[in-house]
Amino acid sequence: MTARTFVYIVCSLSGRVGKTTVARLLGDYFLASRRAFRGFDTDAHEPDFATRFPEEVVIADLNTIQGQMALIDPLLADDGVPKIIDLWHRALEGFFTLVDNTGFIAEARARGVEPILLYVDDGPPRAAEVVARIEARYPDLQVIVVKNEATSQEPAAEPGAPQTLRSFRIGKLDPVLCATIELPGFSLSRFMLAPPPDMSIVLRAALRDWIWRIFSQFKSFELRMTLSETEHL
Amino acid sequence: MGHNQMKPTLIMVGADKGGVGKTTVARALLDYLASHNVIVRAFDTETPRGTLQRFHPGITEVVDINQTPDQMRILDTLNTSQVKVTLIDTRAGALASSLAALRDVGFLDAAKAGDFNFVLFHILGPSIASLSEINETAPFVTDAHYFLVKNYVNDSTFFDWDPATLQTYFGKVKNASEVTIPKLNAMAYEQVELAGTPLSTFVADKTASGDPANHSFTLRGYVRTWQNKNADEFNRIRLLDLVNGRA
Repeated sequence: MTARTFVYIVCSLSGRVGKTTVARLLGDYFLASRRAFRGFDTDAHEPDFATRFPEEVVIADLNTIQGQMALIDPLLADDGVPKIIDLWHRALEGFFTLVDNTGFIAEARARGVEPILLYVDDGPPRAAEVVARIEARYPDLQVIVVKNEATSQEPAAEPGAPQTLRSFRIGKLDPVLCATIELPGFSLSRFMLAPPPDMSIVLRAALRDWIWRIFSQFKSFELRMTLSETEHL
Repeated sequence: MGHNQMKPTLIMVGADKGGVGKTTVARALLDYLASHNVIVRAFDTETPRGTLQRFHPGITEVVDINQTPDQMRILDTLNTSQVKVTLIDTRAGALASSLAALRDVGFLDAAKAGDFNFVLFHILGPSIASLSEINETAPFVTDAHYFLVKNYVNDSTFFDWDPATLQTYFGKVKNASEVTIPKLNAMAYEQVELAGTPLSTFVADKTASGDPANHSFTLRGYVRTWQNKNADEFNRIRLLDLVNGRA
């Protein structure tokens, strides 16, 4: 058995729904567990994801063939290093056209690379429609809906709301902490590995709890994927 | 009909203008036929140095179709050669004269009599002028499977065909059908040119000698998708049936 290399495609049809936040959380999840990742920011104008991780993330402008090559070619390396694409909503259609025109998904599978689509919920009924359309177009692509409550104005979901296998939930975050994590240079993984002593213990505990709930979902997803490819079970 | 009795087929690829991606279409045809286990020999009339020969050196000879010895090399062996399908990539601007040469040596009459299949791919350029080429070609091809190829491969600003004008010209040729070769990404086109190998070798990421080539997957993916679209077109016109004498 060889472990597959995962390619996380973080996308949504709408802007300002937290795609970069999701990509960032994933990136920090890998760094906090002392693993490497490679990221791709498709928004060449405001590459917020690339700015957060200058070492790991490259900018790939899908409007140019050079950008397409800078994205697609490295994704096919079955090197065990997870890849994260922050797919700008304006690049969404172009990305799927590129995927179709290059036969990317079949080639990825053949090389032991597993693409996973994280669709950041942009509200009913749009999200359900888009996800249904993507699933119809790519029947064997794993699609996970990310419900992002961190920045939404709606009340938080019931604490006991069922956590489905095919969704991630990013909990509501206190406005003060929202502002803190938005600060340039604030790293969620560094915070987890070495909490800053000058930060209020109340804030520290709240942020730690918020991040931990998200990271544990990523962790259990990875464990499920590992179990599913374990042949002797 | 068994393979032994298969009627020989001559496929001619030509254009009356250079730079319309003629050799690319010839390459697409050779790859398509090879992928369907049709063995083809090719002649390149781009003397003295062939373009097609650079990509398919093993099966391609460079000839001058206006010289009698070379005509004999091509035509006299159509029947005797083990390989029953022959493709000629005619030099730019020499389509009408090549057809005249085929007529003069009696090939067109033999095709008419049913001794040979004659398939002509006439590559149209991106301008209205190329439509008038059809006028020059039409008299020669009454008994050929005649395909007018709209070749978009390396030109994004292709002439927008006026259906009425096109229809006028199409009306002049009995049996003419259209084939569309879709656009290929410019950089993919360039790389596949530079690679100097058959398209399928490029897609398989190999060099001419069979070593790993390290071409970009993105570019290979574009070429593969483009090949698939070409195959759809060649399937649509039932090219395999034509070369197998089933049409």
